[in-house]
This record gives sequence, structure tokens and C-alpha cells, in this order.
Amino acid sequence: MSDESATRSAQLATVELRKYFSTRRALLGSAPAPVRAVDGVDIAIRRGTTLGLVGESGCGKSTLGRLVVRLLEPTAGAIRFEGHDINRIKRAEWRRLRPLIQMVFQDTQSSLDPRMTVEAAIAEPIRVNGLARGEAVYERVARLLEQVGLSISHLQRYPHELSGGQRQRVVIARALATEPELIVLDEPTSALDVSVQAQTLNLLKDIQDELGLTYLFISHNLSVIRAMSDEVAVMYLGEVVERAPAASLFRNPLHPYTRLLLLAMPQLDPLGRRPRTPIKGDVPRPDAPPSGCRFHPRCPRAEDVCQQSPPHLRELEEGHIVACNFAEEYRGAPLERMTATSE
Amino acid sequence: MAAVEAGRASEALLQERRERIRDRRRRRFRDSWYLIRSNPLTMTGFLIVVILIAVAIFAPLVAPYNPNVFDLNHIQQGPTWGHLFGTDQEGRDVFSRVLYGARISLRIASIAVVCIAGIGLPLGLIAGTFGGWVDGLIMRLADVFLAFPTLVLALAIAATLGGGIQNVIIALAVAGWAWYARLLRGVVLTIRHEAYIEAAQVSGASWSRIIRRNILPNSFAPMLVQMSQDMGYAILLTASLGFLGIGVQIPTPEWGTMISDGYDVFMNAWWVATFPGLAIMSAVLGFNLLGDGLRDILDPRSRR
Repeated sequence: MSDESATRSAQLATVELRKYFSTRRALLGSAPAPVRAVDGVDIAIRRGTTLGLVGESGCGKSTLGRLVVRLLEPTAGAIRFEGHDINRIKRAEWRRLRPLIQMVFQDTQSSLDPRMTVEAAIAEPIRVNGLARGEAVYERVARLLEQVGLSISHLQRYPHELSGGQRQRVVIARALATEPELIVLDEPTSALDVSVQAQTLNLLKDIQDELGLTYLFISHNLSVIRAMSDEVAVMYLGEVVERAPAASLFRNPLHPYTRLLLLAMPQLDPLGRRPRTPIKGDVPRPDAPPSGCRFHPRCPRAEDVCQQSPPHLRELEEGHIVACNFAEEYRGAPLERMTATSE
Repeated sequence: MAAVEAGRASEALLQERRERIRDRRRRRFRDSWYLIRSNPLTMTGFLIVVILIAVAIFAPLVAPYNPNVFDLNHIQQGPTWGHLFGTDQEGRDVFSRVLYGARISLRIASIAVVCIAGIGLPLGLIAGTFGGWVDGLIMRLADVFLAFPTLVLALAIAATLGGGIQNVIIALAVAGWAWYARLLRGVVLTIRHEAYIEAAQVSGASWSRIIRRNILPNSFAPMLVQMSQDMGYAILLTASLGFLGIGVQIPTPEWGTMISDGYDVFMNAWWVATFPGLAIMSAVLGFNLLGDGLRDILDPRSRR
């Protein structure tokens, strides 16, 4: 691929990453086809930048995040973190790298142990990784709390005594405790109120600027992705269908799926001038994806070719990669135009 | 990676921390006490259990008579001020025997429950945490034990081993461990899928640490509740074995044995069997109510 060198210089890169989940064989039945949650994904994130990963639920974006922190092992392909293939390195090497890759979870309620105080929750990764001992641990916890905008008065609280926003700040502090370089943010704000969402996003941005962190930001919310990302990857049914710098992607999306997603975004449009274009149909079953382009059954632009062979990712503009046979037609076209001939 | 910090924390921070911890503990104590007090059922259970334990400890001081000494001049006397619960066929004071019975029952039940938990909990923990064939093996073995009604199994074992306190405990432990293994396995399976376990994995914690720091503390509460309620059940089982004559042997003042004694003369002297029966009932009731209350107290989320 053309961005071979980019892959190499990236802090995190996945190469042809696949994760299939095999479902249990039914009694007397044949083994069912595995669910292809992540099916050949290449992404790369440069140090200190944010890659937004967007897609409908079930498209495999969370699975990708969990692969990156090694909560799951890939079926095939590789994940490179600073050049190391994290699934194939020695244990000792992984022990050194593990603290550098952290994760913030969506559900603030269940991602904190209900029986651990805030202090215990944040101190745990510090102790596990031997980053501090004795009283120095408390000093560090206090500093981390301050960093995420909480005070030491929260130290001895239990998670249920905090608000959702406060809990998410604790989760962020816990992720920061190991001095990571990459944080996977799996829908970090979707469980929060809108007002708290903005605060949390700002906090994440401030922390990123301060510490030079790299983010893999997973969300189904395009506005959030737009606010946070330097680059955006759009996933559909386990595949990346479009990848581009955020500005380029939001200015001129080249994949019909991305365009439909953007059209579905709520807009300030009180007169209702803009037609609503719902994406027809449902996401197909990931254990039996459609032939050819996986999006063709729902695509307004689909032709026969789309059913036959899957389109490859092509770089149409600088850094703008898309997997659609008709992507050229969308260059510079207004968002509403979905088919080549209409209007 | 940064070097290990081992320095001292500032005195102000430590001071603040100490105060917060004290505050948290105080709050916890106050809330626990509130939860006991505010629920009359919990309070009842709590009081019964406290009285029971006190009686068991201080039986020799409280009991007006020696529970095993015959007094053939006062046979089968009804309740009077001298003999609150009357006397039995051999003239022994039923009240004193009931008090001493609390000792026997509590001792057997508590040791049995500890043994049951000691066998069942590690097995359940292993099964739930590691899954796979280990889980299969342990749980199928448990199923074998669960296939028999507890009383029947305990009966068979006690009958085989012969009576006596120690054999009763063994019988209860063998009959009961599978329940704990299964219960804890279920609890662990629920906890294992919580995001905080994944968070601990991501932070680099080993499985043994995750078990110690996350899984055990979170499964502690349901286990303690179960153990409290099973104290009642163990008392009942012990009494059942005693009543059937294969439990604790005569003349030990054990409640089940006493009912069995009184059963023969129930028409003439109802008090001989009735009072031990009431003792069993209130003990079982007390532990069950306390167990229900503990469920609320031990859940940090049920606090104010």
C-alpha cells in the first residue's frame, strides 16, 4: 500500500487486522459461520493525534478498540505499537508496553469497582506497574485527580457517590495513572448528559495537548468525532470504508455510507428545507456479509458490479482513502447528491 | 518508563487523607447502624442472634441448674418459677438444657458453615474464574452432591460415620459444599463480565491480583448473606439428625435430641419438646432475618 512508510512511522498501526468470533455449534447442527467483527482493517495513528473511529453499533469499532488494548487476541493480522507487534512480542516486552496503552470505557457505572474508593481505583494501576511505593502513591493519586479536575476531597468516595461526569473523570485519571502514550476511548461520553459531554471532551483535549497523548476515539456520534479527531475512519460491517483527515472527510465525504451518515446528522434546520435521507434497511448479519461491496444492499448508488467484487480502498486525494467504485462522482458534489444522474 | 517514586508525601496531604478515611469509616458505621435500626426485621434478627450468642457463651453462668443432673424428685413438672420451662422425664431443668443446647447448636453450625464455605468457596472461585474444563469438572462433581436432598445426604453420611459432634459436622460439610461452589461460581461469572475487571486487565493486573482485589471483595457480600442464612439451616439439620437419633448423642443437651426425648411424653408433658422446638425456630428465624439485613448493609450502593 502507498502509505507503507506512514504505517511504519505511526504510533499505532493495524495491518490487515481480523477478529472472527465463532458462535457455539448448535446441537446436531453444523458449525455456524463465524461473526466477522473486524475483517481486514488497516488504520494508523500518528503520535499525538486523534483517530476518530465511527460507525453504527455492531460495525466492529469496539472490537477493534479491545484488540488494541489486547483484551482480545486477533484472528489474523497484526497490531503495531511503536513498531512492536504487540501480539507476538515477549512477555517482558509486553509488560513494558502494556502501561503505555490504556483504555477509557463507555459505561462509567460498571468500569469502576463499586467497592473501591476513588483513591484505591487510581492507586491500583500505579501499584500494579510499580510506578510508586508507599506514600508517594497518594501524592500521585492526588496529582492525577487534580489533572482531571477533581479534588482530594473525592479521594475517599465510592463510585456510587459520584455523578456520571465525575466517575468518567476518575476513569480517565485511572487511565492516566500508568503514564500512557495511547488511550483507546470507547464511547467515553455517550453515557453522559450533553452538558457533561462537552466538559469531558474538553478535558480529554486539554490532557492530550498537555501530555502529547495519542487517542483512538471510538464513537457513533459524528459531531463528537468531528470535534475530537484529526483523522477519521468510517467502519461498516467490520471494514473501513473511508479514511481521511477530519476536515477533508466532513467537507467532502466520498463514500455513500459516510454521506448518508452525515445526512442523518441532526442539523439546525428549523424550516426543514433539507430533505431527510434515512439509510434504508438494517445492518446485515456480520456472520453472512453481502457479497461484493458490503454496503450494496443499502446503497442508493449500487450497480451490478458492486454485488460482484468488493471495491478496494483507493487514495483519491491526499490522505483520503475510500472503498467505493463510484467515489469519483462524489468529488465536490453536494452532500444531498447520492446518485450520479438525479437532479 | 518513569523511575519508581518512593519519596514521602506532603504532610498536608497525608493529614487530609487521614481525615477523609476517618470520615468515611464513621459514615460507614453510622449507615450500617442506621440500616439495622431502620428495618424492624433486621433488628429482630440481629437481636435474636446477639442473644443466642450471648446465651451460648454464658450458658454456665445463666443456667440455674446443671443440664445433665437427674432430679428424680421433680420429674415432668410443668413450668414454674423454679423451673421456667419445666423438667423432663429425668427431672432435668428444660430451661438450662435449652440454654446449653444453644452452645452445641451454635458450635456445630458455625464450624459446619465454615467448613462448607472452606470447601465450596475456593472450588466455586476456581470454576467461575477459569471456566473451561476445570469449571466443567468441578460443577459436574457438585451436581452429583446436589442431586440428593441435603437432609437425606447428611443423614446417610451421619448414619455411616456414627453420631457425635464431629461426625455431624462432617456430614453437614459434605452435604453442603456444592451449594456454595455453585453460588460463588455464579457470582464470579457475573462479576467477571463487569467492565472494571477489563479495566484491571488493561492496567496490567495479574489474574491472582484481580481475584484478590476485585472478584473476592465483590463476591464477599452474597457469600456472607448466604452463610448467615445457612447458620439457621445448619442448626435445623443438626436438630433433625439429633431427632432421628443419629446426630449428637444423649445426654448432650442438643435441641433435636431433646425434642426426640420429649416426643414420647408430649401428651403428658408438652413443655419438654416444645421449648427446644421454639429455640430452634427462633434461631433459624434470627439468622435468616439477619442474612436479609446483611444484604442491604454490605452493599455500598444501598447507603445514603
